[in-house]
Amino acid sequence: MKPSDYWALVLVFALLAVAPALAGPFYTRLLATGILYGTAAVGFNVLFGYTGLLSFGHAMFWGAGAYTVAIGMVKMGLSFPASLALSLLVVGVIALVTGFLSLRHTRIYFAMLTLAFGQLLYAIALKWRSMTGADEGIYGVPRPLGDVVLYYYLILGVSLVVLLALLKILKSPLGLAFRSIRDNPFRAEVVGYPVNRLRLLSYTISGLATGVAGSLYAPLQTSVNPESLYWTFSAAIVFMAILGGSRVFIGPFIGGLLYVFIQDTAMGATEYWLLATGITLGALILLLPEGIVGYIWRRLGGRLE
Amino acid sequence: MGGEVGRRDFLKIAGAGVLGLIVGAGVGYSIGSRGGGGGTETVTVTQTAGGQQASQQAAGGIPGKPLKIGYMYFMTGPFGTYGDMASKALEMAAEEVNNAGGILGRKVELISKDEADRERVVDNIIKMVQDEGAEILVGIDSSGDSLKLIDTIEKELQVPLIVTHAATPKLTECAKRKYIFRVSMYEEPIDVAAAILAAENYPDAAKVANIGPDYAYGWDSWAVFSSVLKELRPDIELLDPVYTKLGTTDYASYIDEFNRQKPDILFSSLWGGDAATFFKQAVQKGLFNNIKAYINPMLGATDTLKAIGDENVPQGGADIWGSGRYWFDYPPPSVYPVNKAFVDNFKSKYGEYPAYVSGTSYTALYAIKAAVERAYAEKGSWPDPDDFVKAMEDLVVAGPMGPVYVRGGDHQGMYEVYWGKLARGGGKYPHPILSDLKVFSPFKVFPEPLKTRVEC
Repeated sequence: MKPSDYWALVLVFALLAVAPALAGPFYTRLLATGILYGTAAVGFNVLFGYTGLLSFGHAMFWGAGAYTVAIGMVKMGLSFPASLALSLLVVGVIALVTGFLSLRHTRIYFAMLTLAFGQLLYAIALKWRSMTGADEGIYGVPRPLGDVVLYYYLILGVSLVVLLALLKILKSPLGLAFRSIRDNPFRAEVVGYPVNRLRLLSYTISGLATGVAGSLYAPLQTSVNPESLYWTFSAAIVFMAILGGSRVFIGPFIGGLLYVFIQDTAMGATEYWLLATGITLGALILLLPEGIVGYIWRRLGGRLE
Repeated sequence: MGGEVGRRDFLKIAGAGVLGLIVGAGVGYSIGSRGGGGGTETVTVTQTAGGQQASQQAAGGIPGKPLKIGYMYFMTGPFGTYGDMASKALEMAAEEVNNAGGILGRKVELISKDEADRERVVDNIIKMVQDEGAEILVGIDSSGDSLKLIDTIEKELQVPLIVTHAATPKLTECAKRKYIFRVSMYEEPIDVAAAILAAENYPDAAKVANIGPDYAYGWDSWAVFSSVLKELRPDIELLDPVYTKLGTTDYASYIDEFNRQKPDILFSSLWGGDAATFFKQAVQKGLFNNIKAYINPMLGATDTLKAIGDENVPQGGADIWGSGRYWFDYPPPSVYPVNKAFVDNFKSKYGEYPAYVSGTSYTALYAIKAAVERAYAEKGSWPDPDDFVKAMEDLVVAGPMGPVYVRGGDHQGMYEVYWGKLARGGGKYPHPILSDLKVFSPFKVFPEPLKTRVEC
């Protein structure tokens, strides 16, 4: 039987659903982080793998989501669902505005513009003390359901909904239109696709998915800091997608999970961690360009994007 | 301590003060802080001594395995010196305690994580407790990190954290934390003392300027210093504060502006490499000939003084004042054996003078020991975290910086604040030093528990 995107998703989430029974509180927490990183990376990959645009500013959606939930719950006294809804609104507006401005260009110019907008948001978080707490961030974000294990299941459930929605979109005619733009934007244009509008739609969907993951991260950590908006986290999201494999739907998700565990085990010191990241990324691109999941997928006879 | 005091007098006073404090601290502080709460238990230093006796008796209720203490500091990167100097002192304290039989017979085992691993500060703290078995936590350099750990410690882990460096008032003064303590000096008393120093020593000063780092620490330091100074000297003019990015390499334009404005007092909360860079450029541009006093609460850090170097200490010109959380020459080793032993051992073991973070982290380990022994004396078995917390409250521990009273009301360690004048090491010391120390009683410069001038 050839691997299918749906079955891979079901299998991975089934394993994640039983994991807390075996993992203990610390590793359950780590898995929760991995699930959120993975969901953010799949969101990123809607734009990168399926629409052919490399964003170097996805931390902006992650961080904006995290900050909005934190501000909603701590400063405005909103409930978690209301904060999450507000967060989707804020992330959506940010995506539409930055997307509208960045998508005048493609390739490296687009990547640079997204990087610039990401850093702009970072600078705002660092300066606007009354709203964002500046470098101290916002702390004391209440965690819905309190307990880490219960919250883990909330994260798992929301992530599954997000991933199923993304998969449904990517399997629909809209997803096919994204792919056609990725493969040949000129032909897509000639065929009659509104290329710019579709790119903006893909960018916004991508940003919203990453934003939801970030929104759930703030209550997990009980705090949010400007680092969540910093460009290095944008780079980490790119890394997760490539590590798992951008040519399989579930690839970046596994990439996010792997990233968290590599970070947790393989690193003693930051300098060596950066070195290790660099070497891993270089080796992957040279030896395993389709990523870890992509490689396995191909060996199992699955179709790569 | 207001007027000028000669060095000899100062030594005498300091010596008497230190001895007096040690004797009186436990009784005085604990009774004082519990004023009005009649009927509560009285706690004195003698109980700590009793605990020490108890530690010599082998007794039940004590786990056989070593006591794991997890610490987190910046171990790598631009702030790696902090972790290096703090962990050296912790290792030394652990070795001393273990050589003397451990804590109630349990050997101390230190485990650590790197705070420079920015994304994972919270995860790594949890890992040390839940996965690696740390029973007590120590450390934290960054104020932001200390704040984001509050809920993790208080709600999730419920394990004691003894903070030894992060200095934001918000950690201990915005709400009473249960499991979080801080044995190191925090920003506010140092800045309050700075304002008193400025008002008393420069009664004619008309204009005050500020240059500080552009983030919470820099903003809060100026807010505290300037507001206290304004209370003491309502007529003084506060110039618009200047804030610069961390890691600024060229301060020329700011220094030119100060040279033009000629403030009488320049307050600066620049720290680390930035403090040294600014200082050297200010010397080159003759700033210290145009002002009366330069006051920097972070100048008393040995790495900063090393970076400034003896040759850059101006002779004549403005008074240059520095402070910190601990200065290795105070209380004078000649009259205070705890500091003498600490400095001598540190120097012979590592070949350098201890930094202020060394003094505070060393104190943390002895505070843990004292609290465990105190709790044991009451209960007769190894304390659980709640017993430990109770024993930490209103504890007095003799640290290298003098007796530290861990105030029950806010879990903040109280000890004397010093301000000293920058002077050349002159061959006796490998770097510039602080001399002519002015020492402020904690009662004079610490706000009441849970009160702060900083917005919570």
